[in-house]
Amino acid sequence: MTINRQALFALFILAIDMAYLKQALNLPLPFSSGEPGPSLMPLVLVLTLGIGALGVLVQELRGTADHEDDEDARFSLRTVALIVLTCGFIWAFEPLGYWYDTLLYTFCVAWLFEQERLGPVKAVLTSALIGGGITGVGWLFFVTLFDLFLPQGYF
Amino acid sequence: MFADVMGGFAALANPETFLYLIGGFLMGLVFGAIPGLTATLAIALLLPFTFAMELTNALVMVMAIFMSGIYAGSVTGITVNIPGAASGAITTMEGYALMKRGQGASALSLDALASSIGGVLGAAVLMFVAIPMSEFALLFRTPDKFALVFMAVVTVVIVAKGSIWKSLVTVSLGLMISTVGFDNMVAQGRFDFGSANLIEGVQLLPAVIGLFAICELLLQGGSKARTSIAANTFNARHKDFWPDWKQVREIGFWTYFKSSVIGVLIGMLPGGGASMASFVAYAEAKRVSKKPDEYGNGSHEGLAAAESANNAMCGGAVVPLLTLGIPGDSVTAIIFGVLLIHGLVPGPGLLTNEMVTIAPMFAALMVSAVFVFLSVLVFGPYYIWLARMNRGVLYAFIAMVAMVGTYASTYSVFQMWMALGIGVFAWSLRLMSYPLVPMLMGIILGPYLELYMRRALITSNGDVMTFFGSPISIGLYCMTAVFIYFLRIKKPKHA
Repeated sequence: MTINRQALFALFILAIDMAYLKQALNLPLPFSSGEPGPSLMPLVLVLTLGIGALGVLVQELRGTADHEDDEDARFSLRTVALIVLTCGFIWAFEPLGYWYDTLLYTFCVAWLFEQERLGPVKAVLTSALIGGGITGVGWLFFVTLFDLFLPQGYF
Repeated sequence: MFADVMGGFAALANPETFLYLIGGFLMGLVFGAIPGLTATLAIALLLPFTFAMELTNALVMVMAIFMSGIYAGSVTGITVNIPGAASGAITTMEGYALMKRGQGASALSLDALASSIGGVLGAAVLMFVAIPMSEFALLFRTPDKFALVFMAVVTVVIVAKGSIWKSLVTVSLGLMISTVGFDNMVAQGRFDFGSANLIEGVQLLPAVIGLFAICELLLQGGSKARTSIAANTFNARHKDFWPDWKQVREIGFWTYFKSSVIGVLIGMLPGGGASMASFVAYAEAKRVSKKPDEYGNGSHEGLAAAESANNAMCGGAVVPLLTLGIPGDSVTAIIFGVLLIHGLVPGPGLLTNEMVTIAPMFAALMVSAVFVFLSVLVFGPYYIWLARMNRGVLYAFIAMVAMVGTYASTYSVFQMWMALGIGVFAWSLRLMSYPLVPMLMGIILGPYLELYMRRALITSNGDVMTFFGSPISIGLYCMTAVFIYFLRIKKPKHA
């Protein structure tokens, strides 16, 4: 009986379940006022999530789990970089405005994928062109064509 | 009645009206195919312009957007594994698997053919049996609606590929996400942690963007290059988008017909929607299939069933709107607005008094369904081109549309954070081989499941036997049991 990463993840899901239960118990209990109330469904869901996570955990600990690994799913530093970039993009979206923020973001995302094909230096120019093109298309599409609002920045 | 329906087709012969039909169809294709933009958004954007349009043109355009938007949700699903709309989730699962095997053109042509058949049958039902069928839908009481949604949730869990425990986990997580925000029956915030943003709940758009667009972007960040798609996929020419009639015969007309009927029936129920229609039809097709093992790994049959159902839903969804004045989903709610703007009040009497005015709407739905099939013959190679596109261009574009699209449709930076948060969580679930489609279905069906459950319990003073009190409910629970038996219990005996 060994703890593998699947079992650890099941424990993480159980921790989420417990946190959700704690919040659900802050709501009025079901039928306390004669009606099912807002906590009935959450409490049922605590049960179903708990059963599901325990099912995974037990299968993993007993070694009976049938693993069908997702061939597309791998961890890499580029993924972490994409998450960090997207956080930065959202954080700066209103202060910087659509143009500067999107230009920077699309350039960086394009570079992360293009440097693998062209090398880090050559990819800079290509990525700048991609970033510029996509930012322009985005503005044309969202603002010019469909008259939607996008932020212009604070300065 | 028949003459009025034919008059609807005659109205489309007007060049101006026909151009509106084409314009709406292309707009629906673009909005449906781009993740983050939906047919609902396209129709919502069109709403202010309908003031200045003739009623016939406005209705025709709206119907064309509806049909092509629902179909186009599957195009990017098949080619780049990102469905343009939630209703394309099943098609994505089967279609992308076919794409990776080098059968992208075949998947796209079967997808368009199934959508077309479903759309035409749905429109035919709308034209000829709208009134009697809406009377049947009226027989569904709250416990019956609960039984229907319950059946959809259970089938989501049992149909998903891999571990049933993992499916149960993800559907529960999706249902939990749907409970965040203001309670829909009493004045009570739930799981909002005092945040004014969370009190509004998690909107569907950031959830779909996060689960599919952001998650796919992060997954692609972890893969070296898109070598997993067979090279011959990219050699497809226009003629390759004609359906392989041998495959069509293997799928069988009965599969198309039955899935379309399921789509129409679910579309007629308020809250049904294209996602539920495609899931239930898919589960039913898998139940009776001779090749159930292919489901989840690129099944032509599964793809055809799901697509027939979600496009047939378009016709069904309009039935309660026109006959009872009840919009079943967001798209029909906006169509309600278009009718009201032009002085037509949906409800009893509309079809009998205004059939001449409404008939072009029915005709537009049917003609758009035919256009769906024609569109893949014209645009098919360009759809495939999406998967061939330079990775830097494709993923920078997806990242931009996903994030900016979320902002443009919600005007909220918080919803951008929400999309990213859900995307990162979905990515971690994919790393652990958890299926994501059940999570999306949980988010979509959660509010209806809870609403019907609580409403039924309130009206019965807490008596749980109310859920088993009508033949319709019992029939739906029996169908659920049949699904469980055939898809999870009987299956291992054959393995």
